[in-house]
Amino acid sequence: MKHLEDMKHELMCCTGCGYCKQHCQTLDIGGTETDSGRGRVFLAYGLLTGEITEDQSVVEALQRCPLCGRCEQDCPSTIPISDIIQTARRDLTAVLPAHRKMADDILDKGNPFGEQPVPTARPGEGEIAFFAGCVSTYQTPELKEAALSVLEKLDLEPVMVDEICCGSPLENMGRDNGQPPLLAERLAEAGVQTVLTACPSAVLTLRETPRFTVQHLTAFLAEQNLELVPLDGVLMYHDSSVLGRKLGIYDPPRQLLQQAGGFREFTENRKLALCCGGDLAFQAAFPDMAGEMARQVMDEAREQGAVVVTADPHCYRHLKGHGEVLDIIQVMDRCLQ
Amino acid sequence: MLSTAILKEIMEVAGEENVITSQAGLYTYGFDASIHHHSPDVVVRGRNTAQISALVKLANQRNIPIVARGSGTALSGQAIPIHGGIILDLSGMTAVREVRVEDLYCVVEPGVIYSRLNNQLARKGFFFPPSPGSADVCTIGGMVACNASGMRAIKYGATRDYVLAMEVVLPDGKVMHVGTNTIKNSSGYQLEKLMVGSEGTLGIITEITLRLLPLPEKRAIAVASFDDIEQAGQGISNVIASGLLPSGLEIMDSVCIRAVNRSMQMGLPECDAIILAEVDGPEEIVRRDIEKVADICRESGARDVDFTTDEKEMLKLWKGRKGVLPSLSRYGRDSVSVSLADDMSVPISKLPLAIKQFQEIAEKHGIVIGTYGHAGDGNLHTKVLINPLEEGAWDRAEAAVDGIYRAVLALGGTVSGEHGIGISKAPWMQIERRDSLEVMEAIKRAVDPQNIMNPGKIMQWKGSIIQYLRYP
Repeated sequence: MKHLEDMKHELMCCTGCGYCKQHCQTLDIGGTETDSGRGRVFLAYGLLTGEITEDQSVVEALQRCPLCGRCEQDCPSTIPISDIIQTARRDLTAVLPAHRKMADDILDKGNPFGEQPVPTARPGEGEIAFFAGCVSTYQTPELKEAALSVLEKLDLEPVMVDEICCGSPLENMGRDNGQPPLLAERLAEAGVQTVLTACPSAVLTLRETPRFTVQHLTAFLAEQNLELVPLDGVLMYHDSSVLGRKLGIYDPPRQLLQQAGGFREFTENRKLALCCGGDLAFQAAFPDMAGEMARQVMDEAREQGAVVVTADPHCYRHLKGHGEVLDIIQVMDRCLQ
Repeated sequence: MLSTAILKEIMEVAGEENVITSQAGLYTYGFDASIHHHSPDVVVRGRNTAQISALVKLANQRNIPIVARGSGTALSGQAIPIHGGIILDLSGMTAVREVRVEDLYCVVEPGVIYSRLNNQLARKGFFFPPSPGSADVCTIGGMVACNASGMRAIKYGATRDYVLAMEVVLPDGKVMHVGTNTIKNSSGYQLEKLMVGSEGTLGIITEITLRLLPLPEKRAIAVASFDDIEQAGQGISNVIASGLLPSGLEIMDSVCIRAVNRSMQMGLPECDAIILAEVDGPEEIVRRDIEKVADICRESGARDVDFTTDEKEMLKLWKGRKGVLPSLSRYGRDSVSVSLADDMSVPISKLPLAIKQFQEIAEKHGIVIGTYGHAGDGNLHTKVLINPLEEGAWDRAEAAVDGIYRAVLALGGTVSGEHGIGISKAPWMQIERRDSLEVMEAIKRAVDPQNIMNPGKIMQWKGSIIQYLRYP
């Protein structure tokens, strides 16, 4: 249990009060103690103390969480519940079949979807690079097109390298992630200082790389004094768990949508936003639960006759299967002359 | 361990889809919010009265212990299956079957979350008042089983005061209806009141009728800071003696203030103690009363008093107060907060003396305790801060707890004001209720002759409480 040893004090600090159960969507859907943040913290505790051993039920219970961090907003003991769960996953030896396939695909083909690698490099060198990310490159090319179109309208011609997955699914399923150094090598060769990306998971994964700074596209665009033509229709902005709770980026997308004609808030927003279940590793292994989480998000928008706007390709990809959704970059592309 | 044949029988009566036997399930259902842990042999998700009745009947025939639970937020080990057997998870029974404000009652299943019920009732201008600290996560069934209450008990009382009727599955599987959906009844033994606080030792509660009250029009909260906790205690007594009836009157000592400021960024005044006082009612009365409370606090030596009627600000203050217990876990680098000596009550005027004695006892045993609570009704919480891995820490904690409870009893108090007995308070409850233990045991034997319902708890617990620990 070498990784969970580092979490020993945090595990002791959890009083088991159960406040983390208040807004846990996986508990709401699954209904049992093992589906809650507290249940998973207890499992980590049991693995650390040796009171339980790894088996299928423990592996599944620990993996059946999108690491959205909503439970942490309700924890008065400030227990880093997602970190504990992620750390416990690192100590597991068994791998869920869906995760094995995803990990193999990342390592073999450079993307988690098992697609044949596509060359993405654009000739040239420069300080600013655009990193589309694996979801936009392989699953939702419309987002990559929109991002490139927006950058072109701003007279930016960023460097693009042949991309590989940043490895965030590997980290989330509890495996070592060797992807960022490989990617950093390619970016460094092109002389890149700043990486722009529309993918919050890529920001999270790559920001520890010391060779360059990484910025989410919404944060970059919010600094640009854009002149936007307002869009018709009702938009509702959904905070991605990674962009919001993990990266703390709440205002830039709101500022952009305000400039684009306004938007509505979900009842639960910012730090308290619902998770859509779009985390790649979670969604691949537990599609039913992830689907139910997406429906919870979409239902509120549907009641208001609104189109959901997200700023995370993972959420966009997942929500797309459950109703009308736009990525904020698509909104920007439509509003920018 | 239950045999495969018995597990098969359980699946037949409860429905296979409602039965959990996985290692992960059994281990996690062996916890509540107390210091204790023990895994059950099987978890069954309760769905309806007929299913529960069949399950209980089988458990009785096969002599299998059965422990009911809701959200598992009990603080004294009430939901820990110390003899294994069945955990009956009632958290999935969440129907609010009836809300009849014209008759001042609602009928609910045991798994309804307290605050969700109140959100629903608020739309009709009514509420179920007890307001436990775990309001957003605890279930009504758990509240009834433990006679829970909280910050508004001083004015509105505890859960027992609101239970009008219930449906109970008795240990032989028979279904009993007790009480009526009327505001009053003098019709024989009020067994519904006996079931409240019985902690699952007499039967499984499958439906509850609760009395409702109209929501007060307005609320206000005063925050008074004191340089001396005894002065704060005196302030509480002075407010009560003035004839005012606040809807909440709370005290927090310096340990608790620092803890919530640190972990929840509450920005409470750093001082020896603060009083949080809430008044409610018609707007003009609220304004008059909150000013009167503020004056009394000043006269009692408060160095500063502020008050607010802003809903957001009040919500934040109550959130901070409710967060004291878990926040204490962040008080020291090596220590964590453990749930011991957590909810004793003393006559209100004895409060300053009790607080002083608790501090002396903690010092004597070399431990840190945080003191806070619903001081307006004499109900104090202490939390013991220890390093659970340190040699001798649990012995010192138990000795301090013993000192605290003996002091409480000497002051004419009770070992539990609102959380119940379970395991962690049992030895001292047995001292407190020594005159009535025999009757309690006779009731238990009469209702549950096989002793399958949450066995080993309350009057049946024997020996040190430092057993079945969840800590290594």
